[in-house]
Amino acid sequence: MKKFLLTLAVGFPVFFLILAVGATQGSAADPKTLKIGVTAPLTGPSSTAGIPSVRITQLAAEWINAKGGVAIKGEKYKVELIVEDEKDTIDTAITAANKLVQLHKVNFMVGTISPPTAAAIASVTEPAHVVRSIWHGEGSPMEVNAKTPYTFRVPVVPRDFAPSLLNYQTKAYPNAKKVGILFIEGPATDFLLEKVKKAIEAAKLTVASADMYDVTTKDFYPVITKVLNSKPDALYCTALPHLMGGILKTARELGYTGPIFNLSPTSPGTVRGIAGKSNATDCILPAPDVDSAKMTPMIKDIRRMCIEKYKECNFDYLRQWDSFWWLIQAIEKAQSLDPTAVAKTWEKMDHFESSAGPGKMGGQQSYGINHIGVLPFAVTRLNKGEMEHIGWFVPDIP
Amino acid sequence: MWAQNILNGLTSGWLYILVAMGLTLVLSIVGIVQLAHGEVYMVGAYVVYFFCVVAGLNFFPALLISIVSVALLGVLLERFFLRPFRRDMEGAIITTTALILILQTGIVAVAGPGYKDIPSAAEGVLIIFGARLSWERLLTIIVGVVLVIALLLFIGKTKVGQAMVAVSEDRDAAALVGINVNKVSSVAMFLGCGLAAAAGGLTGPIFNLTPYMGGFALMKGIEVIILGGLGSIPGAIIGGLILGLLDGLITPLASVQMANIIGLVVIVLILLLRPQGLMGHE
Repeated sequence: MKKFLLTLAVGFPVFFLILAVGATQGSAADPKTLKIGVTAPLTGPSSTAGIPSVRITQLAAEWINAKGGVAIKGEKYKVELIVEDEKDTIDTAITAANKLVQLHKVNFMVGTISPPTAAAIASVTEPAHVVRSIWHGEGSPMEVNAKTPYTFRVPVVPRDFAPSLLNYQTKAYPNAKKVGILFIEGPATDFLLEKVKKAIEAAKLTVASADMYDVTTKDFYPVITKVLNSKPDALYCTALPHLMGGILKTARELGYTGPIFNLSPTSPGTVRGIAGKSNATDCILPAPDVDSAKMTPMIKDIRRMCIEKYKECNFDYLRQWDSFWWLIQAIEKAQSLDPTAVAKTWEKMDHFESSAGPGKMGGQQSYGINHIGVLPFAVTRLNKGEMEHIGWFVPDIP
Repeated sequence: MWAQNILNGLTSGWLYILVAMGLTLVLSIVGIVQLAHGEVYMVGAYVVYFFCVVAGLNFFPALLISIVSVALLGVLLERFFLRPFRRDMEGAIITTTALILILQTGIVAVAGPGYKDIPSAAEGVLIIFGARLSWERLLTIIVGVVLVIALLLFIGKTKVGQAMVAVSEDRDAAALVGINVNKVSSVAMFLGCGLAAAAGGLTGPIFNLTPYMGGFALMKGIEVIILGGLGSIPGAIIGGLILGLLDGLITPLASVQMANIIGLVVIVLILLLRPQGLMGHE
């Protein structure tokens, strides 16, 4: 008994001493943490876009951490992502944003893939002064506007692709004068339609027809028949990858031979796969062929890391890298974790590194706030079943 | 223009019929609204994808494997997920909803969340009176017609088929005259899921594959069988053709949205005049 008590008397202090030393050593060795919230549809139909977006953001965070983390005033912060499923529905998006802001106390967020969820999350993040880098959009005021001083958008969106692609069309297809429009019906469609019609007029072309279709459309035969009745020389669409594949395939099967442009950035490989090689011709997409030798060294690196980790890589993965990276660059430029300081710094930055090359902030005149990324984007043409890298374009977003 | 619109409507209609056929069979005989029927359709398409694209088999053997394997899956689903809830509507709704999630998540885990495509089984376009139709769509219609005729013959000419009719009309009376209701339900699920797999496999090359493609199939299937009459196979054919023709004819004249609205208005009007649907029983 005496031996047991002696063991306890000596053992307990020693045990706690070891724990305390271990804890002290642990805290000394652990770098500080920068928590970044991610809202994305991880379940439901939109998860086809949400899951690759989260995966590439995780890869970008690992890449930043491997380089030592985020450097602020001589200290290094490891990035910790906190991912919440927002299902691409408004109520779930608000719940996810509230959880990230109130429970996890994040000051920085990335994510959302549609204008309605972007607007819904802004109702939580703007009053809380959370800096947010949104992923997708169409270029409507629902996403970024003068009243969203903490929301930024890096990727180029349909509204801003349109002038560049129309300019390309007038040179590559000089005989194509009448443009047919086929857009996904949505809350931002009328706004986008108005902007694209103005861009078409500015390019001295005419609108042959403007039709909308539902995002759940499977069979495009009826709606494409309607569009082709207006005898367009060129067709401009907004479409997710599988929808673009369906549109391209149907238009070719119905005998349409003119160029088809997608204003939504979609993986060329996915579009070709769904349309079939025999139908994949004269289809122009504002997205890179990530397997092309003409990609930037950075894109080649990202592709390699993505394949190593996830066994696959296409544009659906690649496109969100810069949304996250620009947020990190803005934080480092501000040398602060104060979201207001970061937002003020970010909107004034005239140089960013992106996977596609140098970029800057823009949008003061077009969007009422200088919160829009202006960075190069690749254009790929599907032609006779092959993918051709047309070149790098820089949008004009004053 | 009109020839193209009518042809578009007929092809859409046959795609709807293929989807609705299995659903109406299961509903009338098993007695449960199988909410995961769309996911069975989706699994059928993915099985074709695996055998055709991953394993490199020809499309037709891959389709056959899909039909048989998914039909057998249907037997298991009936035995373990549906049969215990045959007289429990709430339980059936919860179970079939759970099945939706299980099958979707299972496919996401196996194949990933992204889009998949099956190469066309018949490339090229057929031109009829100036209207254009892809060979793969024509193939789908031909196989669909053959399957529907085979199903009608099976039901009309075999003992098991007649037992299915008896069970669909009165389950308890059928049991009283010695029909094994459980066995008939298994056969119905075998056939219903096999048809769903055929629909998924045949439409896979025309559209594309995602783990969430079943929602469209279920919605169209429900619209068709409500219009045609619950449990009526001829009703499913007529309902599918009506909805398909409305899509094909109204979209070019007005818009996709108007075609959807008019399709639903027609369903409501027909239900007001014939609550049992066009070919349904009182």
